[in-house]
Parts: sequence; C-alpha cells; structure tokens
Amino acid sequence: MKKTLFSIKNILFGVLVAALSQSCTNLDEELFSEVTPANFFKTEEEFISALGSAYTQFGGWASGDPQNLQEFTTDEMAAPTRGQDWDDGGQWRRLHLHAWTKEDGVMSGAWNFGFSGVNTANRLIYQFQSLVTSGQVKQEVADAYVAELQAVRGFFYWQLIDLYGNVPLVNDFITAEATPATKTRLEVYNWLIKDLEAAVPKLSKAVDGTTYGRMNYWAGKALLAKLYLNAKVYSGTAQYDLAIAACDEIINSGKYTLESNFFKNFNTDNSGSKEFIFAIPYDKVFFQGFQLHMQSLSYLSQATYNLTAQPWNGFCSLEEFYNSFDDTDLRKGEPGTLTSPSIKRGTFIAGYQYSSSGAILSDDGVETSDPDGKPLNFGSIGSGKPQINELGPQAWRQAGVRIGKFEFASGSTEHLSNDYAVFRYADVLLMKAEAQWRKSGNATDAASLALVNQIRARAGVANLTTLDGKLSFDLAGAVVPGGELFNELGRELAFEKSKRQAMIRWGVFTNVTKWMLPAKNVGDVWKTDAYLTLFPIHKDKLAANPNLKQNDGY
Amino acid sequence: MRTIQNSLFLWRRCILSLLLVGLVSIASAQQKKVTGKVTEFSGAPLPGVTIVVKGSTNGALSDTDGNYSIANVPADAVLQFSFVGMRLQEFSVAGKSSIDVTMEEESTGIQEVVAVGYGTQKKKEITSSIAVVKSDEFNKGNVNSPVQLIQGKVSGLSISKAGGNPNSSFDIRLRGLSTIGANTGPLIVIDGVVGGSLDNVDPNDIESINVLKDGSAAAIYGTRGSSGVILVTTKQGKRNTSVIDYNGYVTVESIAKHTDVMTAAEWRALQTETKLGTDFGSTTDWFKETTRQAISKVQNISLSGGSEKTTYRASVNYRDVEGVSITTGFKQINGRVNITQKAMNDKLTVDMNLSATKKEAEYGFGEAFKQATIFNPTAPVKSAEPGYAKWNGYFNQTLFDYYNPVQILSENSSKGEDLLYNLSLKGTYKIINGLTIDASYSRQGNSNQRSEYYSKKSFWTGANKNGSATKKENTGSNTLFESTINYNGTVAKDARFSVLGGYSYQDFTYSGFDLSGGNFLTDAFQDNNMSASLDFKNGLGTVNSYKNSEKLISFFSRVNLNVKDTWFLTASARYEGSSRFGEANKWGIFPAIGGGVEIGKFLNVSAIDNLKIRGNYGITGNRPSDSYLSLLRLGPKGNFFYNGKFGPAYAPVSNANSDLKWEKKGEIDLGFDFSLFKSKITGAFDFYTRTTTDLLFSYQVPVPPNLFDQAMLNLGEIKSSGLELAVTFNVIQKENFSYSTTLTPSYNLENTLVSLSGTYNGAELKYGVRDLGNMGSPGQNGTPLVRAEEGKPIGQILALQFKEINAAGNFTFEDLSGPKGVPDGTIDTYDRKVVGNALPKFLIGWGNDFTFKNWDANLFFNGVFGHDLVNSFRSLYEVPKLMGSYNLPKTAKDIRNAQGVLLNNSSGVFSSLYVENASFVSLDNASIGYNIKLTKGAIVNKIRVYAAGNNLFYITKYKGVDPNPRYGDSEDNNNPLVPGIERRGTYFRTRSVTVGVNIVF
Repeated sequence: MKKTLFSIKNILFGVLVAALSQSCTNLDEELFSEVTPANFFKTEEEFISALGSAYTQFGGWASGDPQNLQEFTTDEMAAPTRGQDWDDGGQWRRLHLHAWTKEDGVMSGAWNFGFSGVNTANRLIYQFQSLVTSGQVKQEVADAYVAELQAVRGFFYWQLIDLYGNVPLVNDFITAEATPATKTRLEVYNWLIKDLEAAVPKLSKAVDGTTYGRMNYWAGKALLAKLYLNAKVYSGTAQYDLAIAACDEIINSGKYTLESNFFKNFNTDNSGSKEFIFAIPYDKVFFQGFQLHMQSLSYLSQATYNLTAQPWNGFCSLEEFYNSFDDTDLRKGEPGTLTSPSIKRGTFIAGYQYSSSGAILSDDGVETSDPDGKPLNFGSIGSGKPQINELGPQAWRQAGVRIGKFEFASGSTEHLSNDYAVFRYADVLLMKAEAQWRKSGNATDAASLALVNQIRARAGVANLTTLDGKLSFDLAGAVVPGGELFNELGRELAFEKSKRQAMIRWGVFTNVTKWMLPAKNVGDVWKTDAYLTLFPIHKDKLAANPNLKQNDGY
Repeated sequence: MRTIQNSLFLWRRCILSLLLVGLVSIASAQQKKVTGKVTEFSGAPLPGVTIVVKGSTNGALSDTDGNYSIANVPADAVLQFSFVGMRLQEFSVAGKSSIDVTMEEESTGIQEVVAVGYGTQKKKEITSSIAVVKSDEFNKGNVNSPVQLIQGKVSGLSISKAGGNPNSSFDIRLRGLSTIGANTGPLIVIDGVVGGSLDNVDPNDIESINVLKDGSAAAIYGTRGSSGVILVTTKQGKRNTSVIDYNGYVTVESIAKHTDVMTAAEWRALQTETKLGTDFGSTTDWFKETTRQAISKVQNISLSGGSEKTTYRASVNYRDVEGVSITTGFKQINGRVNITQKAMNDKLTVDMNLSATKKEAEYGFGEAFKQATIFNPTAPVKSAEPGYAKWNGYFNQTLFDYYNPVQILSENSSKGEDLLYNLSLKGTYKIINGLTIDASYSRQGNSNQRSEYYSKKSFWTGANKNGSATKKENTGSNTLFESTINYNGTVAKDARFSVLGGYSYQDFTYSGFDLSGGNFLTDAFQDNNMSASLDFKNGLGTVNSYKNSEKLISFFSRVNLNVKDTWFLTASARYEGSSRFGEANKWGIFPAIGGGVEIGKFLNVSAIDNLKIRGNYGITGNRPSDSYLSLLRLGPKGNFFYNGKFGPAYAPVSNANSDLKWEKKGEIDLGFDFSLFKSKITGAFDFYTRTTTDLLFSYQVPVPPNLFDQAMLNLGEIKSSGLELAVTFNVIQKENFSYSTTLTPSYNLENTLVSLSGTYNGAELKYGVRDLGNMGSPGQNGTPLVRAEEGKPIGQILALQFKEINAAGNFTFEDLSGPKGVPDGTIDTYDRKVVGNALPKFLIGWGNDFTFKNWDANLFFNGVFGHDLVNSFRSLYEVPKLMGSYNLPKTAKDIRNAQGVLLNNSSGVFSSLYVENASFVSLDNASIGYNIKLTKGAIVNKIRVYAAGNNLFYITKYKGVDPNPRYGDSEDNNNPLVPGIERRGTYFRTRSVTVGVNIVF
C-alpha cells in the first residue's frame, strides 16, 4: 500500500510538472517569417524600406484599373468581344459604351488603387513623425520624407478626385474616422492644393539617380500643373496662370528636354530619359505590373516576340484614332504587309504579323467573315474593311490595331521592364500650350503654337498654324476651338492616361457616339449623360462605409 | 467500465444477499451445489456477476476473485450469467458441479459501450447524438480513404467527392454548413489523439468510427468541435490469441462519365452547317487517348494477439492505385503498431501507438480533362509535319486556352511525396476503485513535397519558358499533451455518477519553402537540379519560405449522472485558449448540458424494448485558419527605386484585428433512440437547430482608415436545422438466411445566412447582397454565379432566365427588372434571378445486408436530392459558333430556334439553361462474399473471397460529369459561400470492380 501511494504521488507530480513545464497558459504568438513594428525600424535601411511601400502602390498604374477607366472610356482603346473572348459579362463593352455600373469590379479596383496609396502615405507620415517624437530620427530628415509622402499622397488624391470627384478626405492615419464621410470634390481639391503647395518646396530638386522613380520637386510641380489645368473641372474655377507658372518653372529649370527620338521614352531600356519628370521603374523582376503586351497582343504574337506566356488578344485601338496620325508621322509606325513584316516601329502594331523567324502567322481560328482569312492581320489593314467590324459579339479575333507604343522586348515574361512615365516633359509643353490658349482664347497664339510645333517637329510632321480644327474622331463634324491641339495631345500622349481628362476639358467626353463601334450585343446601350464624367463608387465600398455618398446619376 | 462495475458491486451484493437468504431457505434439499469462476475475456476475474437458476429466483453473485457458489441447483437446470455490458450467457448444468465461465462484452444494443470525447459511455446513458459505425458495417470494395468506409452510413453526414481522382480528398459536411470562414470539416480524433490525420490511417486498420454529431457531444472538444467530431478507433490485439490476418484485393476502374462531346463524324456534320473550324482529317477520341482502365492493388497484413498482460497489433498496408487519367495515381505504404501493456498489479496500463505513412503520388493535370473535352476531334494526337517537331510531334493549334491534352499529361509531370507519422504514449493508473488518472503524449508530423515540371517541348506552359520547374515542401508537426482524472461513484441508491477533469496542451509548427524557375538547357533534370535553371541566374526564379506556429491550451470537465438507469444527465465544459486571438480574447468557454429519459420503463408496451428521449444544448467554437491575424505584421512587399537601384519595400501584410475572437456555435438537439420487437427494429431520430455567431470571415472594410480592404473579423450569424433518422430493420434472422436493411435519411430544414453585418472599429459594415463566383474565360469573366444574401439560404444560384432562341438566332432572356426595379427593355445584371439551389435538401443512404449459408452480400444505395449544379462546360461551350475554336458538347447541335435554325449569333451567356437539377440515386457499393468452410484444425482459420463494385450506376438528369454536390468553389479556395459549380477541371467520374480475399491464420 505504501508503495502504491508513493507511485501515485509520483504520477501526480509528474503530470503536474509536465503540465507546468509546457508553460501551461501562455498563449503569446511567436513570429518567424514576419516582423512587427516592435522589432523593426531599428536601422536606416529599415526606415527606407518603409518609405518604399509608398512607391510600390504605383504598381497598378500602367496596366490596372486606372488604365481601364482613363483609356477604355476614350477613343484610344477598346476590347471588342471576339467570339466568346472578352465578353466577360459585358464589362469591357460597358466601359467603352459609357454604360458602366456601380457593380463593375473596375470601379472598386481604381478606388483601391487611390485609397491604398493615400492610406500608405498617411501611415508612413505618421510613422516618421512618431520616430521623430521617439528621438530615433532627426526632424529635418523626417521633414524631407514627410514632404515626399505628401506629394505621393497628392498624386493618389488627384486620381481620386479625377475619377470619382467626391471622396472622403483622410489625411491623418491615427485620427482617421472608422467610416469617413464623402467630401465634395471642391473641398478635397482645395485641401490638396494647399497641402501640395506646402510640401513641394521641401522636395529635392536633384534630377539624378537619387530621385529617379520618386517624387522630386519637379514631379511635384508637374502634379500641381495637372491640377491647375483641370481646376475648372475640379473646382469650377480656372487656374491657367498657375498652370503656366508651374510649367514654366519646369521648362526654365533646364533640367529636362525632349529626347530627339520619341521612342527613347518607351523602349525597354528607357530608364533615365531626359523627358521623364516622374516615371514608374517597372521591371520584370523587381517591379512587376506592366502588362500591356499581354493585354493587347494576339495569342499568335507569342511567336513574334518569343514571349514566355501566351498573350490575351484583348486591347486594341480604334480606327479613327489610328487614322488621326498622318502616315508620315514618325509616331504612327508602318503596318506589316503580306510580303514583309513591319519595319518601322510605331504607336500601333498594325497589318500582317510574322514570327521572329520571319514566317507569316496563320490563325486557324479565324472567322469565315474575316476579310483577310488566316494570315494574322491586325486591323484588317489593306482590306478596305473596317479595322474593328463591331464591338461585339462577333468581333473578328484579328480586329483592331494593337498598341505598340512601348517596346515589347523579345523573350519578355508576363511583365515588361520598360519604365512608365507619369509626367513627361512633352506633356508639360502641351499643358503650357493649352493653358495659354485657354487663357487667351487665341488659336493662333505664336507662343502656344511654338510649344506644340516642338513636338510636331520631332514627330516629323508639318507645323500647325492654328490650334483649332476638327476633332480626330469626328472629321465630318465642325471645326472645334482647340481641336488640333486636342488631336496633337492625343497622338503624343496616347496610352499615357491623358485622354479622358482632355475629353472632359474639351467637353466631348459625354458626346461619344461619334466614335462608337457598332454594338450588336443584346442589352448593349450607349450612354451620353453628363453625370458620366464621374464614375460611381462601387457598391461594396458603399456597403463597407455607410457614410459614403454615391455620385449623382448612379 | 470496470471501475463503474466495481463501485456498483458492493451495494448490489448487499441487496441480492438479503434476497438470497430468503431463497436458500425454501430450496429443495436434493439439489446440489454448483461452484465456479467467472472471468473476463482477458482472463481477469470478474466480480459482481449475477448467476441465476433459469426460471427461478435462486441466484448468487461472484465475489472479488470471480468465484461463485450456488446451492440447490437441480441437475437439469440452466444457469444464467449476466453482467452489465456483457452478453447474457446460459449453461446447462447437466450434472456438473463446477462451471467456469468467460464473459464476453456485449457488442450491440443499449448495453453497448460507445467511445465519446475523452472516454467511453454506455449507449443507454448517452444524452446526445452519436453515430457508431463498426467495421462489419463499413462500405466495401475500392476504399482508399477512411471516410469512404462510412459514406452514406451516418444520417446527416455528407461525404462526397466529385470525380474519380484517387488523389483528391472528400468533402465532409456534418449537418450542413456551420461556418464559412473557418474550418468546414470535422475534427478527427484517432485513438484519442486530437487533430489526427486520416491520411495516416489505413482503412484496413479501423475497428470503428464514431461521429459526434451535436454540439453537446462535441463541446468537450471545445474550439474545434463546431463542424462535428469523428472518433476513429483502430483495431487492437486480443488477450490470449495469436492471429495473422491477410487482406488483398485488385480493383479495375474505368470511366463512368465525362461531358459528352461531338465525335469527329458529328463534328464534321455540324461543320458543313456552320462552316466554322478546320477539319484536320483525323478521327481522335481524346477521352480514350488520355485515360486508361486503371488497375489498383491493395494488400494488408496484420499480426495481433496478446498474453495476460500485453496485447499488440501490428500491420502493414500497401496500396498501388492507378487513376483512370494516364499519369495519375499513387503508391502508399503504411505501418501501424498498437501495444497495450499492464503493470503494477494491473493498476497501470500503458498504451503505445506508432504509425507512419509514405505516399508517392502522381497528380496529373485537371487541365487535361478540360482540354480532352474541348479539343478538336479531327485533330491528330501527333503529326509528322515538321512544324510540330518542336512540340515533340504533338499536334497543337494556337487558340486561346487550347492545348493538346495528351501532351499535357505525357510531357509534363506533377508529383508529390507525403510522409506522415504519429507516435503516442498513454499511461492510465487506477489509484483506487473508481478513480483513475491518465497522461498521454503524442507527436504527429507530416511533410509534403510537391514538384512540377513543364517540358521545353510542351506547348502548354513550359515551352517558351524553355522548361519550367517548381518544387515545394511543407512540413507540419504538433505535440499534444493531455492528462485526465476520472472518478466513478454513487450519490445514493440507484444513482451513479462519473466525473472527468482534464488538461490539454497542443502546439503546432508549420514551415515550408518553394522554388520555381525555368530556362533549362535540358529536360533531364526536371525539378531535381534547380541550379540548372537560368531563371535563378537572371533573377527571374522565385523562392519563398515561411514558418508559423500556434498553441491551444485547455481545461475541461464532464459530469455524468445515471439515476435508476432511467434518468440521465450529462454536463461538460471546456475552457480553451488559442494563441491565434487578440490579447483580450484568447480564452473561451464551451459548455454543454444534456438529459435523457428511458421512457420505455414507464410505457408498459411489450413491443418497445427501449425508448429513450433526449435533449441537449452545447456550445462549440472555431478558430481562424491562420496565425497572427491579431497582430500588425510587416514583411517585404515589392521593391522601389532608391538611389539608382532597387531596394526592398517593407509594408504591413494585412489588417490587424486585435479583437479577433472565437466563432461560436450553439446547438440544440432533440431526439430519441428506440429498439422495438426485441431489437428487430432499432434506430434514432434527431432534430437539430444550430446557430453560429461571431463568424470568422474576411470582410470588406473601408480604406481608409484601414490599411487593406479586407480584414478577418467576427461578424454575423448563420443558422441551420434539420431532421435525421437512422433505422435498422432486421427483417429475417434465420440460421441460414438473414436480411437486414438500414435507412439513414436526413432532411435539411434550413441553412440560412442570417447576417454578415455588424460593427468593426466603430464602422457599421452592411453585407446585404453579394454576387460571387465567376464563370471565367473564354468570355464569361465578371459573370457571377451564386448570390450570398442576408436572410436567405446559402447557395442561391443566380442567372438570367432563358426565354428562347429568337428568329435572328440570338439567345433571349426574360426582362425581369431594371435599375428602377421594373423591366426596362434591356437585359442586364438586374434581370438575374435565383434559378437554383446548390445545397442538397434531402440525403439518404439505404443499406441492405444479406447472408445465406456461407454467402454474404450487400447493396448500398445513396441518394442526394434537391440540389442544382452549374454546368460550366455547357455554359461556356454549348455555343455552335465556338466550334471555330473548340469541340462542343453534343447538345450544341440542338441549340436552335423554333424553325430549326442553329444559334448563330450570340456568344455564350450564362443563364438558367445551364443550371441543372443534380439530384441522383447511385448504387454506391455492392458486394458478394463467400466464406470457405474449413475443417477444424486446418492451418488456416478463415478464408473469405469477395467481389465488390463501387459507383456502379447513377440515376440522374444531370448532364455534366458528376452530380455530387459541390460544397465550395474549387476555383476560389473552396469558398463555402460559392457552392454548386461544376468546373471544367473535374476529374471524370469512374466506376470500379474489386475482387479480394481475406485469410486469417
């Protein structure tokens, strides 16, 4: 009996020890492959890596939903429904037809793009400020970073008020409300201008490797110029003098100049172009997200560019837009023919297509109605038929000229390495020309014409003598004030996300039926209402935040 | 069990002794005394056994050494030996004066002892809904996963798999859906080891499977019990035996169903009408080219036995399983050793279990099923034309999403190796009668390797990457320490109780890495020499690794009360903490209470053997499937340009939710167990209603102020209720012939998404109505398929209502509504309506067992009713004009208007046309066996040969591959809010025939 009791004690004791030695009630989490703020931000490299997260937010600019809202809605770009492909519930057609709805995912994507950018900047501003408070970082070091982050935030707010108009204004990470309420476009614009005007002077004026791919002083000025140029739209009050002043400061700095070769700006190795004021340094490894080749090229084009993946045969350009380039315009490019591939690179990839080894590409899936049959011919060039037969549902697989402004390097992966200019010197010249013309109302103003003609000269086309003209997509229509300027802006800045803003400034965005493709899909409708200059807030966003106010008309 | 008996022993002996004194005095003097010893099967003495002279009141009880003595027994009398939980035995005295008896445990009926959480309980005392399936009731034939053994056998438990993929696992759903963001499958407990892996148990080694169905039964497992608990008990050795058991079978499996597409001849006929597509001149059956008759071989050998103090069982299982799709299948070897040993005067029992499994699998590619279905039937598999040489001669065409399926399977590979082990050790010590304490330790681990290689000459995905390889390894391990203390006692006459208290600690560690890169000089290495990939040299290769951990700690207790074998009460609680929650919410309490009354005792109806009504309530929990969600974490997120070169950017990886807490499910279960006409009809009926609140779900939250637009929160409520019946009718029980039939119907009364709204960080989040799922390319991206709507059932399938094909050859649809809520003349998203329901309403299993002399047979039917499926193949390809690019379902020929004009204009548009009733009845398994009669003393004790068929036929209107319900979307992480979609990668449905032999030495 004694022995038994002894062993009972032993067992009980053993159990107890085992229980306690397993740290019986400690439930703290141990991390292995991530860090927390408690064990991070200890070294300078760590601070800088945090700043980096403000810039990774730009990744969605080139090929994401900002593109879909800024370009699909214009005469630059469309994704016709090719057989079954690109029907996708009609969402691509709706963008083109201006019949988008608050349920279309793109409305959510662009909102996320904007507010993630804003939010990250807010968070980092707060972090840098608290590092100053805790004595880890000196005030003057933090100030420069904070100003830079304000400029980054300014870019995202610019897009938000441009696309959605009335949005919440959140400029502090810690005091941000749980469900911030919608503010008017004017309120946000006024705050944004004030914030930027305070921050931009604190930014670095260096134009070299230290500021490449980042918001420097000149990028801040270019952003302000964009805001001023569109101020009439955003705030109801024109700010042409301010726009001219901001452009002048950039022009007069002597830091930037037009590249002699237009395509230097769009080549794979375009880093450091003398025209780039602010560029996103896309890279197939380090900074992914630029996928124009995948979006635009045909499945068969994989053989032309030796791509590592099959492209999606989607985005193409409209006939009117293609034709708004003179054949002599160096920016247009030449179509491939039945006997030889295109020899001149251009904004468009048109005509017959060849493999990298020189064989003409043949499309087994071609529709019987396609006028050129199996040989792959983008845009039916030379057939005398429309480049895009219809928006859907029976668009030819080969319909539409493709977008070739950016070089598609042979052997590309799904991500391009070309940098993508957000602000380019040529844009500044055109902004100044437009602001001067809008201020004076004089279509033959020599100073404005000189700026536009700088760009035309590089493109190898004759000087303009007046800024007025017919709109490129309505050549049967009337001469429009500033029409030629509008066309030139379209050609120079094609696929650089300027067109929708220009159309709104010219008042032609909601009068789009002139360039509408025939849409035969059941249920497709064109819309031309004035409210369409602002996009709707996606319904999931409204569900997540009851204080948001939907834009009128939706 | 023994402990209860011992405690009962004293008072019972008192009562009976008094009785006996009276009886003995009137006994006849010419009768003689009979003595003997009563032992357990193990040989241990069994005290307290009641011995009665049949037909009289003369009786005695065995003493502590199992000895008994009974006087005045007539020479021709029959003695009856009875004991709680043991089979009643009768022996003719036939003049003998000494009769020794070995009692055998009762295996059926209400005396049955049933495994419950942390222990066993007599079936009659159980107040909750627990289903028990024993090995002799298991499904037979081609069974490769333990859950197949009980498929259809447990009312309310749905075990399903679409298609015949030998490498994919079964969806297990108990009583519908009780969670949407956490784990939807039940907790597995193997021989007491919580959180075990069924992949590490061979079906041949399983003795029984118990399913704890309601919240009250599962609450002792607290936080992991919400989706039910499955207790697996493996076979053990028996004392004083020595058995070698061999099982072997061969299975032949073939395709039962794929989407019916046009043959080359049919395709050509349609082509003359449409003038679309290219006739390449061949006649190819792509299904034939990509599949085979699969042959699988399974062997199992076990050694078992024991001495007085030790029992053991060791087994080895080998499975060589082929899939019907070429290059799919697995080879698996599994070993298991169970040893039990007694020591310290039998007061200490030590159990040791070891098991390990190694599985080498070839997965093939789901893409091949899709491509075999849509590839041009006039195209050759291979072509000698020089243009195809770079694809190794395989014919290919450049069209969107279109690849030669034979090449997909034969030029590329997808393989894996899984290693699982479990080691557990348990000591149980009997301190005094009625009081035991135990402690157990177990360690489980797994490592899964996956490798894929896409050849340089494969047109599909490797070609322009110049070869592409992926290698992944994930490992996980967990350590479980548990200790319980049990006490059985009496409170008063006829009132017994048992108390359990326990502590449990479990920690988990997961880690892994993956590499992928391409650009190889040669295909020779596959994934075995990643340094040969030039992608790594060029910075294009990807490398990842991770590690995370988790802890669960709990204290639990249970009290059982039995008054007069008539009134039963069970109450339990588990207090449990998980490291995955926010600082203030780590711990939760999960109580349960249940009661039962054996009203058979009050109803004096001879037909009723037992009728127990019971009711209970229990709360169980669920925890999020990822660690660290309550913490703000930073990790590398892309790069940015800094001082002329790229540097890493660090950013938060998700929204942190410091308030994260347990998801809670409360469940009421009301039911009764019955046994009629001397166990001729037995069964159970249950009604349950369960409500889950604080649902763990990834919600859309506003940005700003949140960092990301998704956060894991506790919001909302879902509710389900249903009826379940399980009834067995022993129709005929003759010596040479028996027939019994079992029905297990269950009916889902409701499965409602009550709410997904609530408050987070002061923000009112309103879920409302969400349309989820996406049909996908070609051409039907942005086409939602299923609506999740507060207040409505889960799994509403949403589509345009098809009207007709009009004169112009277009699809037309009903104009039901518009932005203003009234028909507006256009067909758009406003015109979609609910046209189907993804989740089944009614499920039934119907088993039939026959024996005739040495023959036995079984037929098991399975029926699932009331669910619909989205047929993706038809929606995407039943469009005649698409034959320019793809082969089409045969039904595409019939897509014509009233005048017989083929649909020639419309693209595919998802509509009610493609939402099909998928109710079905199947002959799930059928078997016939013969036991070869052996002469006594032969070297072999038993030989049984058998044949079985699985999934022999389906009766259904569904035109797709497999009508089994889909509980989540395979293209959306099995999201349970998006059920009911048959995707194109579905493995073909199969049927199989098995022949096997079982030899016992």
